[in-house]
Amino acid sequence: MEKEKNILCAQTEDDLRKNAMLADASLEDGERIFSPAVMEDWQRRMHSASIWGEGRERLPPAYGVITEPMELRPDIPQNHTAADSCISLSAHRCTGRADMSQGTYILVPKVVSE
Amino acid sequence: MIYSSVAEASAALAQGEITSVELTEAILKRVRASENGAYLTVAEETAKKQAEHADQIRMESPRTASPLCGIPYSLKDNIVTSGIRTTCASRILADFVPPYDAVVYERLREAGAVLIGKTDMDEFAMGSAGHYSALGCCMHPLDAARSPGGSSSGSAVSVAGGEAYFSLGSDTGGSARQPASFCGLVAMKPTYGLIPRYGLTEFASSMDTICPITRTVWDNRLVLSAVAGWDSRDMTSVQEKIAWEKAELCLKTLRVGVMQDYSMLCDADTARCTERVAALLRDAGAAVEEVCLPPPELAVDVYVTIAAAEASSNMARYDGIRYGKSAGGETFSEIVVRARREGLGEEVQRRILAGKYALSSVYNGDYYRRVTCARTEIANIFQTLLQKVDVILLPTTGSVAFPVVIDETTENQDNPNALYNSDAFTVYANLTGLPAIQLPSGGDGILPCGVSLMGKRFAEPMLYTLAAWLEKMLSVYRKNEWKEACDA
Repeated sequence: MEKEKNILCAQTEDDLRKNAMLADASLEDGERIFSPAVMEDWQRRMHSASIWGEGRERLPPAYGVITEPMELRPDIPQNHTAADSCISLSAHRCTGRADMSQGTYILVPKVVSE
Repeated sequence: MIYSSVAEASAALAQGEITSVELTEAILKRVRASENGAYLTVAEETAKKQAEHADQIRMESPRTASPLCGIPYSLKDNIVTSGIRTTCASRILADFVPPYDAVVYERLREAGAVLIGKTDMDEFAMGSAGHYSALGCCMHPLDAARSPGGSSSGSAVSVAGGEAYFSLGSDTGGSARQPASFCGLVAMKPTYGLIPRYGLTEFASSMDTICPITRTVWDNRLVLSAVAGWDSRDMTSVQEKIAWEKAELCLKTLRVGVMQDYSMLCDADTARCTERVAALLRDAGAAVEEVCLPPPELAVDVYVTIAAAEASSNMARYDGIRYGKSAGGETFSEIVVRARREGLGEEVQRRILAGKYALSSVYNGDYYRRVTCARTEIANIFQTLLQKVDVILLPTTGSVAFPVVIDETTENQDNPNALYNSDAFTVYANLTGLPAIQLPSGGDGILPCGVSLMGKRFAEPMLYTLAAWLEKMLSVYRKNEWKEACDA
């Protein structure tokens, strides 16, 4: 049990990367779940919220790192091609743009709470 | 007795009028007979053992026993409990039995409280109506055709329906306060970091908060006192202790800011309830003035973007390999895709996709980073406002409990994002980390609705004092009325 807790509490940058990678590796039903109307609504929301934040300062992040997707998940899968195809697949379904997988991803906080 | 407050039940236990075993059996009987669907798992054996232990504590050390000793309660099913399954109302965790306890469960067990079971919720706490549960179907105790609210639907229903004396829910954008409002209960969203989240399954880590849900303000204070306090296992847990000595309040010097134009987002009944509270405060001598808050629709947009981004990262662990039920597959991608497609509901999948979209820097330039700037701006506005006023008053929801969506062709099903707007009044507290208490303030004659009071960080004692005064003035706590309504 103690070992299990330690795994869950791990806070290294590698752990953050692994988690972020896996967030992408799924969701074949993206198109159905993300219907054009729903997608449009999300885009509108994100756009309006981000415009409001533009040019403003923010508090320093309490946690989180910035990384390149190619650096993600160096261990599993060992083969980068498999990792790339996962990330491209869901990125394409989400946005209609495969180039989404080429950008910088901001990894969000893993907090010791589970 | 099952509809009494924690304080009343505790007094009865202390005076030996009833034992915890009897009280627990009465609650379990009620749970067995209920059709509300509040619970996903009833921990009957655990409850009986804990009740026996509580009776022993009351007998051996009556003076030092916690007020919660022997009191039956429920936990939202995203709070882990060793040996009792914790599902987050998701198929992917349907058989998951955690190997450890959440801090809050540890603390309640040490206090001698009796866990009745784990309550229904929107899957992974993503929802505002309680209907995104993959494992249950929770109903409003007063009207089955209405939503109990969400995502802490079962927590609120268990307390309102006489199936627990209190419950712990979680609140990321209003998930405890909104169902509490719909069910006529009190819920405190404390200052971020006050209650350790170790053992709370993460949704959006920077906003997730564990919240007590109770029938009275005093009960809520009792529960918060028992579960709040620093814990090393949560890096966002704060060291500050609650300054209960600052609970004193002088209404004649109190400065209250009422949200400007709130009525534009409310129906008439809800608006009237908020007006009534403002009038009570004004009549008592408080300085009541309108304050301009950041636009609620914008706050919701900021909230949903941040929540989705953080959720997409947090949900990554459910891959069918290390966490989550496997659905088979040959390759790595196939295993993960199958596990997530078959294990996660549509709303969860939708938010993961939206979150990944927000985290992409290529698509229209880094939404997440800019939206966090907007969040800081909202926090700054509140910080400035709370130097001018002591407390901010606003409705908790825009209406009483809304009808359950049954017909799949209705508007909400076509556009699930419409539900996000129901968090318009509640997301402020999560975005800013400030405390907010919801208390019942009336209703439409049948169904209840509530108001929220927001204060500075660690202003919980003052908020409780003010809420208790309002509770008394509004006479909203009428246990006999509740009993009659629920039994009917």
